[in-house]
Amino acid sequence: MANVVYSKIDKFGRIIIPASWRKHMSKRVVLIRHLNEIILKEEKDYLSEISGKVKFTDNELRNIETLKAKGALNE
Amino acid sequence: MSEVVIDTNVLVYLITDERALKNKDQIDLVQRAKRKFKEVLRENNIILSSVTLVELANILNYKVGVDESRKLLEKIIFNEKLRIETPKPDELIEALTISNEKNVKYTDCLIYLIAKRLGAKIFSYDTDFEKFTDVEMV
Repeated sequence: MANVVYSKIDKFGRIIIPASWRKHMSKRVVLIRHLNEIILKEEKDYLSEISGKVKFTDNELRNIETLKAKGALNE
Repeated sequence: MSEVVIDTNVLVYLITDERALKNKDQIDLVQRAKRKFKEVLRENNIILSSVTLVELANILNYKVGVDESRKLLEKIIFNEKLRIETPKPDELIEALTISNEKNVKYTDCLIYLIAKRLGAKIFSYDTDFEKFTDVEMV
């Protein structure tokens, strides 16, 4: 079940997020304005989520075009 | 916020585990690409062409199999800082001509045309993009 709080936006545009919610949260957030909603999402470290997940050889990285061709043929 | 179209080689460097590499130049290149991507991501919206995603999906499928490929692709595709652009029908044709004239790969010509249409820059380690003088590289 979702937790809901009502909060005010002050004259500087600041909003209070409950401390317990912020406890394990990143200090950076992303604000998304979509239709009549403003969505606030934790900014994830995008790079770390995909970084270093695949072990390529030196030769594969030197020849990315060959790698693409092998991938396309699924050799 | 300005936009940057990312080429496949940048994504390949991003997902690379540099600990598996032996060559110092390759390790440096991968680390530099990761640092630069972080900078580009901070200041720009990232555009991926569907062509790049197809190439990446093929590479991933070949290297890590379907399950891991799916996980990685989902993290790339469903990111709010990233938008996917598909070439328009006329670009698919125009790219053929440009590819022939400039001796540049067809897929790279599609990335170039998408960047040109959007007024975006290109982030790639492929020097072929330097043949296009009307689109800026990052």
